[in-house]
Amino acid sequence: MRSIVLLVGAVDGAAAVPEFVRQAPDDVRVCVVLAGSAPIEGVDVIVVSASPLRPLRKVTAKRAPRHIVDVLLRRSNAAGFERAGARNPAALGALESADVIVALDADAVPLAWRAGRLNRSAAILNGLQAGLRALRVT
Amino acid sequence: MYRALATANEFARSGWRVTVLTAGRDTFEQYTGTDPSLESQIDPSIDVVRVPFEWPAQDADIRTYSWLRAHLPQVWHRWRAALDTVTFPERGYGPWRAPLERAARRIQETDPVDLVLATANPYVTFAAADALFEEGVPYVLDYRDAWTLDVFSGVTLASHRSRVGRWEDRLIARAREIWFVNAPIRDWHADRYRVHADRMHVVANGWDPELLGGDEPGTETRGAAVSPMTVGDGDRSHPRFGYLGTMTRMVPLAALIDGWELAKRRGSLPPHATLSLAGYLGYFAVPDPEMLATIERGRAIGVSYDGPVPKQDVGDYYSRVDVLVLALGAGRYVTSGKVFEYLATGKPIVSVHDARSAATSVLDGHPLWTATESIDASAIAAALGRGWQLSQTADATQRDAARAYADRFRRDRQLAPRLRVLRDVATTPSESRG
Repeated sequence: MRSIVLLVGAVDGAAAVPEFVRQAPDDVRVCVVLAGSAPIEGVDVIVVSASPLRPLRKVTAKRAPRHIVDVLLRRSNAAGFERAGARNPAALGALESADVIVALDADAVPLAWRAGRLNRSAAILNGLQAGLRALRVT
Repeated sequence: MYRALATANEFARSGWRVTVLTAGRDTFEQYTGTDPSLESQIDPSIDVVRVPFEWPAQDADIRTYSWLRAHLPQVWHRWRAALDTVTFPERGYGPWRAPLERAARRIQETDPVDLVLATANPYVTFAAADALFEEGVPYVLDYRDAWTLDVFSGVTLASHRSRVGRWEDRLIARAREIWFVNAPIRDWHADRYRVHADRMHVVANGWDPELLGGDEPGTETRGAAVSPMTVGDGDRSHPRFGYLGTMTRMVPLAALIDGWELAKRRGSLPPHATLSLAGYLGYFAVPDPEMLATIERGRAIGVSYDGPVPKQDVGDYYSRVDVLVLALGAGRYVTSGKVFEYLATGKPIVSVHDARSAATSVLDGHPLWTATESIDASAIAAALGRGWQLSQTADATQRDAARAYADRFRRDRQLAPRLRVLRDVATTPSESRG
């Protein structure tokens, strides 16, 4: 059985999980690593932080300088998720053994990118459709 | 994409030797979403030349990402957009200009071309047409959308002085013909380029009989029964509503689901009525998560998302639906390929779009059509209720009238006048390459 880890750093990614589960083939074990609590049925869930999931924030031109500073100082939502995931033994274990790792939203990409160093063989992909394609269902 | 395929096929049917320049299969698979069933519909006489196309901004392999892209995607995308537009002012597609022009020139060298038809977007295809124009080959520009007009807001996107504006000025001035999908877009361009207005034509998308299980164009029965489908053939207590088409963020999806919920609450629809939403979510292969969340909200009240439907299964999809819902983004310039397919089914249609939409002019006069008066839950609920009533009460006369109405919008009938005129371009089309 292949294992796939879905990384959810924001509300946007959580919304894509049911669709992924619906389209995923039966021989795939799906594990969701989540930044906050959210009810998701039919999958293993690893919650890495207690704070609630936030929607992705649009970075306007006005907010851009502050956003860049936040990212550099690792104060952004994505940085928080990356840090929490990297400190969680269950999440690390899932990432190390996964065949496919999918970031379901932009805030999950930094953790997925970091997972590339933990797991040299997994396909690490951005977005639901790319993940499903990797499982050869689309 | 389908318009391009159907146009190439129609040229081939008319006796032209057609070569299609397009991207590799992997491009469609990776970036835009693909319908493999379409490939089998390419006329066997057509040569397909594939020009590799890379689209780094849509690359989903995170292992290839730089630190900047992973952590500051907005900054990376700005840098990438600047890079993309160095050789041609079109984000994402600009770098394709050189390989596309090279491929076009190669074809011209080996087997000279009589006419180029460039279909956009991407508008970089127009640059390839322009490259062959330098060698004396006339071209037709086929606008499936608009380059310098935002069709949703009506705002002008590029002045004549901008790079895009200068490119478009030159391309339109040199074009043999310029085609648009509807009259409002054509009129906007005719006003902007008054000197060239006489070469601008509307070539509406139309519908293809073979896709819906009807007649093959060119047969004796052409124009007879459009579709074998019937109206109101479903279980009366379980009416099935369906929307089939690409759902972008401009489609009033949230309002539609609010309206659906209200219609059920008011009793305008039976409790077991269902609404199937099918097609791509967003323009690209990656579904828009915000839209997925909106659809998820409707799941408890009979709304389902059924994913993309291959073109070859479109007829089957329509046959399982009692009432079609046409939800479109706002704007008088907005049209849709789907509206023509909807017409062809002969089934009731509920419009959930701006009344000024170009789709309204296509549907106005259809005997089984109703439209929402505004994009709010209450008006949409009422329109959905009327759609259901239509599906229950339509008689054979109305069904026949609906099919007869649709017949004028067949795709071959949209293209025929232009093909007749363009025949003059080549002295002997059957022996020429177009």
